[in-house]
Amino acid sequence: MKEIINEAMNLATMYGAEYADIRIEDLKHEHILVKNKKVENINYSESSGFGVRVLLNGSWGFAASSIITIEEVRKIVSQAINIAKASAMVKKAPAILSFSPGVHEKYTAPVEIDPFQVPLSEKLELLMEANEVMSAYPLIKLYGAELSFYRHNKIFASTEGSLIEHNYIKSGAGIQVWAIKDNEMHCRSYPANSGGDFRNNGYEFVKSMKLVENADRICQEAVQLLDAEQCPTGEKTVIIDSNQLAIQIHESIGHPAEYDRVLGMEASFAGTSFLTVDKLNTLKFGSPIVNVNADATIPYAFGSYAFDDEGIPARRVQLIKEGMFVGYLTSRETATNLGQESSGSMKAENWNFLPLIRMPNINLEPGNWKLNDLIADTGDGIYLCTNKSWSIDDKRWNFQFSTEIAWEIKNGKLGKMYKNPTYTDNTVHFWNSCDAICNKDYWHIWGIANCGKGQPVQIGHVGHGAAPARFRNIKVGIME
Amino acid sequence: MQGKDFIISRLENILKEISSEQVELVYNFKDSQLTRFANNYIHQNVAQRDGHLTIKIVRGKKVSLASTNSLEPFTIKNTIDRLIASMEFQPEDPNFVSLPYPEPYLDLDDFDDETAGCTPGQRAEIVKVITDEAEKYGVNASGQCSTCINELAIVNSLGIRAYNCATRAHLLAMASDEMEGFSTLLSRKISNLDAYLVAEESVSKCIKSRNPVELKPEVYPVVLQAFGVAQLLEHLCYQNFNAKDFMEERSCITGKLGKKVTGELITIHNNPLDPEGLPRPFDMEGVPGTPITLIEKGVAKSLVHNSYTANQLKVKSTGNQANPAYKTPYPLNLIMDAGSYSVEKMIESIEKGIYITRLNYINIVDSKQTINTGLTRGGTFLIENGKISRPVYNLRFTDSIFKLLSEVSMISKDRRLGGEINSPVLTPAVKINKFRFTGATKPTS
Repeated sequence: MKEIINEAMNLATMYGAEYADIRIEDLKHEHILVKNKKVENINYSESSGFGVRVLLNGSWGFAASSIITIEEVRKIVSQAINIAKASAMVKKAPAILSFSPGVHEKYTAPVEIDPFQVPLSEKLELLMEANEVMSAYPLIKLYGAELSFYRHNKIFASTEGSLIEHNYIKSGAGIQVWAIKDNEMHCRSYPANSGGDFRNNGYEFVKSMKLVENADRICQEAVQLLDAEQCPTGEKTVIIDSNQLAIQIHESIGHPAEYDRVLGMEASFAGTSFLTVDKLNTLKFGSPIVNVNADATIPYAFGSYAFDDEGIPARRVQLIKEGMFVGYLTSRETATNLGQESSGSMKAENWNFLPLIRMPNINLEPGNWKLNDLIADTGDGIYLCTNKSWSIDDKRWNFQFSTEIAWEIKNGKLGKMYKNPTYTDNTVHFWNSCDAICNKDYWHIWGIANCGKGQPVQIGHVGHGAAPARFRNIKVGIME
Repeated sequence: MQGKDFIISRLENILKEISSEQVELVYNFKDSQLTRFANNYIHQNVAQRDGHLTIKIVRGKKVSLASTNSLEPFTIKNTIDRLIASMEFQPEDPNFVSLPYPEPYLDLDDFDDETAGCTPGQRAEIVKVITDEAEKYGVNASGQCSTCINELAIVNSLGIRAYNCATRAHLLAMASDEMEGFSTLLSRKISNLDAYLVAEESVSKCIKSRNPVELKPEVYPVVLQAFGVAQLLEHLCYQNFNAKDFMEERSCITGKLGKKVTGELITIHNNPLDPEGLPRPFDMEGVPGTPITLIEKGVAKSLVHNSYTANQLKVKSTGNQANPAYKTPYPLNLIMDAGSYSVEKMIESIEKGIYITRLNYINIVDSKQTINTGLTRGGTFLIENGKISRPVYNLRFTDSIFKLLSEVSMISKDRRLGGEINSPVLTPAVKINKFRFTGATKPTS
């Protein structure tokens, strides 16, 4: 690989690039899904290749190939340079990069049990056992259990002398059931929707999840939802559970804090951000108890890494401090616009994609409450649990979420179950209405494996830490 | 481009190395380039070459699957060995019958030399047409211009030898000021992408969107442009008109085949051979695409199949295997029948309503009831007394797609291709008598 790297970097420099980097990556992914006691999917996929990014006279070019040979490197570097020359045909100011120290490092994420060494028979046995439990409920017409594993090895090198090798293993798992009766269908998931929960951990994470032990509960809840009352409409006090809050954080804090969105670089796809620069250190984003950080250093969290895809070391950055908006997620290019150093947030899905500003782990810092005390303290309200769907506008302002299940809170106690819970608000009103957050005993970092961004679209792995929290005067019950 | 002879012979050699009752090899090689722009300059400009091979082997009722992006003999051997080893622990799939047998497919003239040879400089020139227009009017243009060569080959042990090489081109622009204006074109030929049209449409809508007013979210009649209609159809059809979701009872048309689900003006097809769409001669199993009607004059009529679902129901596959790794078929070439009206006539017929260019961030709220939520975007205007009067801040809707399609009273005679390169949707514009809005979005000052 050293020969490949040297050839790429030397050639880019020879062509006149003021900066170039190369990522050589190898990504293995195993996905197993058992549905209704039948194997729906056992898929093992591998993807390897390299991508070269060049900055030539202030304009970017990127080219990538799955063929890792010296001859191909020469073609790809030349292609990247030609692309950069074309970029210069429609150019404004030259891109300037913030400082990056050249780094030589090798990082291997700690793992107890390599999931790729766990026999397929053991994995299938776990999933079948969960399926067996779920099959006992006649109204549960569809049920599934799945596992996902990633092995991602990456070498990053740059013309600034960086040479970084990262090796990660990631694991995820979840179960899901659908209760169907007449023309109605309700879903319950554990521990979360969209494939479950994910971590930068090995098979030990899957074992810790206790999928089989939670299967009965979600089946019972899904069946109960068929006869539950519709979530009422009105302005209510809501307590939102950790999982739903994770998605709330993702959509209404993480994405608008991506500085490339603020600068309009994502305008044609997902949109921009209402967090314009004039709001930095002036906008009361949330109530004084709302503190949010972006932290790529938590070892097991799904959005963590040792270095980003520009060779910047992982760091923790404060985004919201005591309700005040104080920080962005930046890259080397966008950070110069703020007169800052990069927050180390550039990530690409794999070798064949350009790195973009991505959330690492965006965390709402825990408060002081015990959940039971918070419910008891809430006279009347609704307790919303487990994300089901999400939608937010192109500036990350108006949003609407639905959860799988909710419970009435009446006189400080959980009461009847509600189906089809939805809520809507605008971001600043919502976070300013937060008046209580549960403590670290209830705090959990959720891994999300399906964050889409960019053109062409690439999928990012991110994390969100949250404990249940209370919000006042929120509009719930959007459906007729 | 790797070429038919190279790919087919390579796959046939791999086939010989695998000892199994049935084997399927699906190889997709893409050479794609995308020039992205924002704030009137090119800020990201990328190219990638990647080939993906999926190997499926069958022993009795056991099916095992793996994929790799390397055709190196060592990697292929490892992949095959892994598959065979995993067979021992695989339970049987009682629903599996067989991989498909060969059928003749149309040899579409799907390759355009100019598109295949499109250079970064040529894409930059196209982009410059849009950014120049935006600069002239003092707005910001963002978007992308992309071209690709897509080679797809399927070889199986039952005799399928399918190969297609297609070119595709996509141009999209979002002009931004206080609000946005949107336009897009999709084609198999770069020469069909009229950059001046995209520039004019997006920039003019953006300029006309200055000084928007707030509108109370409630029920309004709406003129929804073709791209917005395409977005609704994607959300309706992908998850509901496939045989697998139908059999699992989670489709919104489970129990409703043969019954009225929308207004009778609505007819929607899945037609991979329509030359007005982006035709595909065969699916990811090598099965030729069969045009079918999903909704005919409001009645849910058909489902899309792959060989897995077709064998279970003892019908013919419609050639809708979208991904070799999954058992669920998907409609991939949606086409809605045109009407007879012009968009201008639709606008004239509305006393107070909304003109919508496109929708954004649509997500399912209740899939059985087809209730979705999302927002307007890219040019949203108030219609008053039969004329477009003022721009409005974007609105959030929450409504049932079946209900919306039941409220369609006028359909345009012209259609436009929307969706994405891999899943194009050809739709007209429509007038919807009642469209329910549940929220409004006004940016902070």
